[in-house]
Amino acid sequence: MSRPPEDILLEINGLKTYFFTEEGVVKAIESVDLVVYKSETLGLVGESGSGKSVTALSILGIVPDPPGKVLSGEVMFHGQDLRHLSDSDMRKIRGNQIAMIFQDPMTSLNPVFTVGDQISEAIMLHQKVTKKEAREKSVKIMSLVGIPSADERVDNYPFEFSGGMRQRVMIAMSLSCNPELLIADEPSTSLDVTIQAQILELLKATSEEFDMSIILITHDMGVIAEMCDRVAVMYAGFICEIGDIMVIFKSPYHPYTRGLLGAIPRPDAAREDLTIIRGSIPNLINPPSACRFHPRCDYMMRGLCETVLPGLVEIESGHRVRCHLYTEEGKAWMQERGEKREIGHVPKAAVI
Amino acid sequence: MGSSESLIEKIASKQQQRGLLADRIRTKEMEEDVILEVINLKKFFDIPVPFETTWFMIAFVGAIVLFAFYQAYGLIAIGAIIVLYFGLPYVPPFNKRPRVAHLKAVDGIDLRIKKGRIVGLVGESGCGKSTAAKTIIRLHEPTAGAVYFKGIDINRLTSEEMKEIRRHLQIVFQDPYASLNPRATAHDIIIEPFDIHGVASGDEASYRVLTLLKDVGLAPHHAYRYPHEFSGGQRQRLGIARALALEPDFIVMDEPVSNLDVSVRAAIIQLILELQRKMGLTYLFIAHDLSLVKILCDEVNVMYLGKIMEAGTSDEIFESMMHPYTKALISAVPIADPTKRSKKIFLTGDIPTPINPPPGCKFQTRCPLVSDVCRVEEPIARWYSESHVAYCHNIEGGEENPDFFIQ
Repeated sequence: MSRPPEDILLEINGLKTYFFTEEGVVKAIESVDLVVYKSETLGLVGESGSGKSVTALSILGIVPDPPGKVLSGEVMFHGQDLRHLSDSDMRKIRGNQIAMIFQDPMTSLNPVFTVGDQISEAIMLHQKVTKKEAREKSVKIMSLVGIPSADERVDNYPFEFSGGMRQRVMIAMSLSCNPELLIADEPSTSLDVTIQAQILELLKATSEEFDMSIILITHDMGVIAEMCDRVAVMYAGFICEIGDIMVIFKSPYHPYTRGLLGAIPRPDAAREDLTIIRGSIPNLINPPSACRFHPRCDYMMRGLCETVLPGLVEIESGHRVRCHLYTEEGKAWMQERGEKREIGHVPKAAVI
Repeated sequence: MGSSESLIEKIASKQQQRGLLADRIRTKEMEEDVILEVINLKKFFDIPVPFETTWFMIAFVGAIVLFAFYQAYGLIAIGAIIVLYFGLPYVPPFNKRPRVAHLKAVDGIDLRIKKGRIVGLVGESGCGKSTAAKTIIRLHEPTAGAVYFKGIDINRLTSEEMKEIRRHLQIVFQDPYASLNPRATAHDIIIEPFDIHGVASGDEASYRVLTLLKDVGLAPHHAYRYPHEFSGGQRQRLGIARALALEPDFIVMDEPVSNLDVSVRAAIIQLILELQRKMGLTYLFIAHDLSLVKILCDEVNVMYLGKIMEAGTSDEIFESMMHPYTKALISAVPIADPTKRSKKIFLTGDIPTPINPPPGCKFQTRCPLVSDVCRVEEPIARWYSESHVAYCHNIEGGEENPDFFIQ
């Protein structure tokens, strides 16, 4: 399933971001490796606190500093490492080639400027156009994202828009410079299902039209299933599984992915089929050692999972898992004790 | 649970003692297995519409300036403005202007909840589902309509009598952090209902607190922790424990898992189901997550702008829905299965404001099937089975009376 290396748009290797707070060091991202191909939608899924948003901020270099700091890793975009760019070079990329949509459009729009001003600002920053041209372009892009009578609404303030319309304004703003990569951080979480369907459809349509890649961050497996080509599952600062959407939903390899899929009501599921991941999400100031999922894992190998961090194992081309069930150490552990631990591949709730 | 008969008797005897007529408390013969019946319940919130004060203020300032130069004219002007300001609202045609606007949060809903069932109430945000739930258990006084709990019209009870009934009607809120007192320990929070209702005290009460904590999956050592020391899921367990303390018959679950993470959410759902099995509880489950409602609820009511659009058993709503709104709502739910990327029905626009809802059918502004009759006439109930009802002008078939299916 993996595509040739020249199709790679963004490549992240060993990204590590910590937050140095008064309570202690929050180890938000320990190691994130992922690849985004051209014109694909990559889903980044995980529970709150798994480091999805911090990954997005780290890519764009907008982690609030202090307290946050990207400690190591490389973010390769068009053959250059974004982490080593100067601030002014980074500004040219941000919003122009890589754009971002935030979860809550009300807090990310400026309440004292009209939406037209705000969209024009993005256009004028990155393109040599006059104010009038920028305004015309804003109207055009606003009608493109489905805002009715855009030529009038361009002079409205954010509070005059409903939640769904505000999110459309955000999308219009991020599309204004034809970015190659759009990072959408929970773009539909605060919206109603009917509005969510509209916004997701809009994202899908525009990504096809503009030939744009999307990193879609969400905690909703349903949204992932509807939208994405590939999916990366995050848990407590690690990518624990990444692969093609069909493969991950049909036969997840990581116990956490499996648990996550079992914990959501799926189409043909009955009440009894909802499975539980026991325990709760760890505190990242003092996370569990080695594999951070081991205290909640049903397949935990004593003496191994809490001491040795499993590496990313390539199950098949493009499908990688970070779990000792598939590593050499893990196999040795199982052989030594004569135990066989295998993950039942299809969660009970999934009848595909 | 056996106290419900005695409860009705108790209230009836109290009425006689006081010599009050029985008709102050309306009772209703209800079928054996129906625990709660809601009839045409309405809840409007009044929003004051200000009279054009600004213009009067400007005129008043002008009159004061006038007063500074010509005292007599100034006085006359000030007097005239005051008279106009207070008098005008009573003079036609100005008296026609409404002084308050009604926010029609709940605009006439009917529900019949059978014992031991989980009844879902779904809809978009702002459709009035939470207000409906709060009005049903009389946390809001209803504007019109009646709620019969075990045959008693609870809205006609005095506060003292209501206290008796409250033991049997409980609620679990969406945000457990906002609904738990931050300065009380878990023990204090759960023991409070015992104190208020004089059910248990001292060691017995403390013992029951520990049992309740165990029932909801918390450990005894959690009893002396404060809400902020719990995780989100644990806090919701605490909220459930408090609701269970008085052994209620009926619990309103107002989006109990919306704020929780996926893995924790499944655990709370399991707990809710387990408690229902064990204690024979009846739930009114409010949610906007339809995939959850589908597997959890026996019956589902779909609400839109203060009205119920369609109601039926879970299968009827999810497999053979009739109403265009239900169809759009269900098709909009993302399905966690990439092989089933469905064709969606997109609704245009947003929910209209409930202060000035459209006349006729409430859904007309976004309905794909809208016709002329929808704009003037409110649709009547049409039944598609004994339990399946929809309110729409433009769907074929159906009977006007549910009795048709009983014979």
